[in-house]
Amino acid sequence: MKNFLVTAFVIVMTFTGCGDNAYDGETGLVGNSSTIAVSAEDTFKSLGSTVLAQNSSNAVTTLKALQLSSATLKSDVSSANLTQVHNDFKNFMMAYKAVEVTYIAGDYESSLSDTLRLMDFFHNTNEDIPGQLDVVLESNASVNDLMFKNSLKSINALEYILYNRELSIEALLALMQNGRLLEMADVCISKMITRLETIETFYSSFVFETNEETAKENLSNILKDSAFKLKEWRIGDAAGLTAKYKDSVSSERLEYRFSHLSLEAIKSILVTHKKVMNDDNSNDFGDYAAARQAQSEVQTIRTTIDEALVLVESIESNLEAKLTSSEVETLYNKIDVLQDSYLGLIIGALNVTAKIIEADGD
Amino acid sequence: MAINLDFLYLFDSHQRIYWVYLLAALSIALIYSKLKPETKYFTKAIWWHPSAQLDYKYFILSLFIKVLIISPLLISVNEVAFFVVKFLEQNLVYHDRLLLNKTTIMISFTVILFLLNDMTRYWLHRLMHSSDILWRFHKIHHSAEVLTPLTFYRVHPVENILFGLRYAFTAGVVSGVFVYYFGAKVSVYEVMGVNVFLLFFSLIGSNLRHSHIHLSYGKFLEHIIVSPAQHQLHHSVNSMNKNYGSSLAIWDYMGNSLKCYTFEKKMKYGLGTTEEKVSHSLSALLFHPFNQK
Repeated sequence: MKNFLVTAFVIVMTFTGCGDNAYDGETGLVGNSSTIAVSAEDTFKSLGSTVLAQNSSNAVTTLKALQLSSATLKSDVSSANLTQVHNDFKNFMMAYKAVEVTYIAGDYESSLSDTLRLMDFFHNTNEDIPGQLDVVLESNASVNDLMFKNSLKSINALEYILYNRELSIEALLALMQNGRLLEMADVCISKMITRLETIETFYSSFVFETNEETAKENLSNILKDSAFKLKEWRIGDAAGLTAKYKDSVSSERLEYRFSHLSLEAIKSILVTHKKVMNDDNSNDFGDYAAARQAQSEVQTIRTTIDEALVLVESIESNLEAKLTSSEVETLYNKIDVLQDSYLGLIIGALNVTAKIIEADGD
Repeated sequence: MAINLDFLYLFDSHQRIYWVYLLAALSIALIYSKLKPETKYFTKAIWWHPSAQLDYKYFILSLFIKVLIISPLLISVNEVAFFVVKFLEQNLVYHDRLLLNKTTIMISFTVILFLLNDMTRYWLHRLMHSSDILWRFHKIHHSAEVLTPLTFYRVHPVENILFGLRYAFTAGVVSGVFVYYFGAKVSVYEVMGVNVFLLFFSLIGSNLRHSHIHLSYGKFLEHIIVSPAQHQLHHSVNSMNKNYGSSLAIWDYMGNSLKCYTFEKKMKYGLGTTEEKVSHSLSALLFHPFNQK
């Protein structure tokens, strides 16, 4: 008996040396930052300035540029000026998408929790925004009075106002001649500037690194959420790949269906994910997570983002023309992998791992 | 190959025989012995009984069985949680994450996980008794004729697998639902790195459940929490079909299987005379269920 116990004890001690008792053997975002090389403080400080603050500032700047070019167009309705407005809208939309991907301000400041929701109604309303805007356009009443609803001062409303593809460019320019359409655009732009400046102000003094746990949780949540919406709403629903719209393809469900900028929006989202997870110039969230035993998820996320970006670049025309293509289906599947990997980060960090006690009797 | 062996149990606060919990049980036992001097627990007759010796040997053997055979077979909590989140995302209408504060989420999660985990433990334990096939495996645990803290580990590998799967599914479903609604803010409320409920029940004498210290909590509390004495009743020949609960007695109360402790001069443990005996050997513990007529 004694020999048996001594031998067994030695074997147990030997095997214990092979184990990592701080971790359950699966990957996931865990670990104590005080003992890890990639500093949480550096990482979140960098993300706070180069992503959160920078992106909100870009959104305000690009929207102000759009306001300016829209004013120019109002004073001189010409094809060249309309093209400039369209370019500026595209720049703003892409800058805005970058803000949306990492929008965590609402998690810290409750007054900001609905700010983006009030300026973006994609998948957020059943209202007929184009129909209501047409009524405003045809009315003689004050534009400001008629556009009292938030949905009519949103990016979706602005897109319809500036692009309405039912009309030819010539017809759109003719419609802009009396100034009412561009007055409507200005109502949208002004309101969105106010909203985005509130966000910009918040981020400019925001100390992201104050609480590592909260920062990690909020960022993981928003990235996973962004991947889900990208896959389901921005690609799958239109391409007939989601459970809800299985085999029912419709470009009407694309996010920027009037401007045909849905592909650019997807690109901007992916570029922002890359900036957060794989920034060559500073510590990013990928470095942070990889240093905390989530190497496999981080590796998958980085590879998938790169592959998805290559796919997006390879689609030469707009997304509307490619909805039934194999590239779009592959892109959808890539984003599914991305979403799963973010979910893996979150679930891997749960502290409910089965301990052997749960397999024992009573 | 990374082998994860969290099994140096004495120094693992998630294990029943973590030294702090043993110390707490010992303290309670010493106070109990002082108050009831007739208690004869620290005797060779108990601690060196052939049944106890078998518990010690089987404990060592079971470490290897669990790490090398059972753990790789079990689906993990994380895998179940992952599947649940994906299923909910694909089948429910999207909603934004619910913005509750972290403490509220943590407390809700910890309480719900504890309740459901304890409830499924009760029902599986009860099933182990009521099913003829499962009883073959569970009777290994009940074949102990004296009770020591290591009797807790006297469990057939098949039962280990069943209880491990039960936990994976229970914790996986609860975790999945919480992650679906609250994302990364979900976590268990821990004190000193241990689930607060595990810590509480361990400190009030979980290790005395398998002992000869008949610590009762009184009739009122024994309708809520399972006392060591109630679990000893469950191990006794006469009340084996009572007190299936682990932490909470409410499941026994609701399932009509509750028995509060009343003094019994001589409580006899083991399988009694009506059951086929399991001999005191490692091979018998492992193979008896398959050889039974």
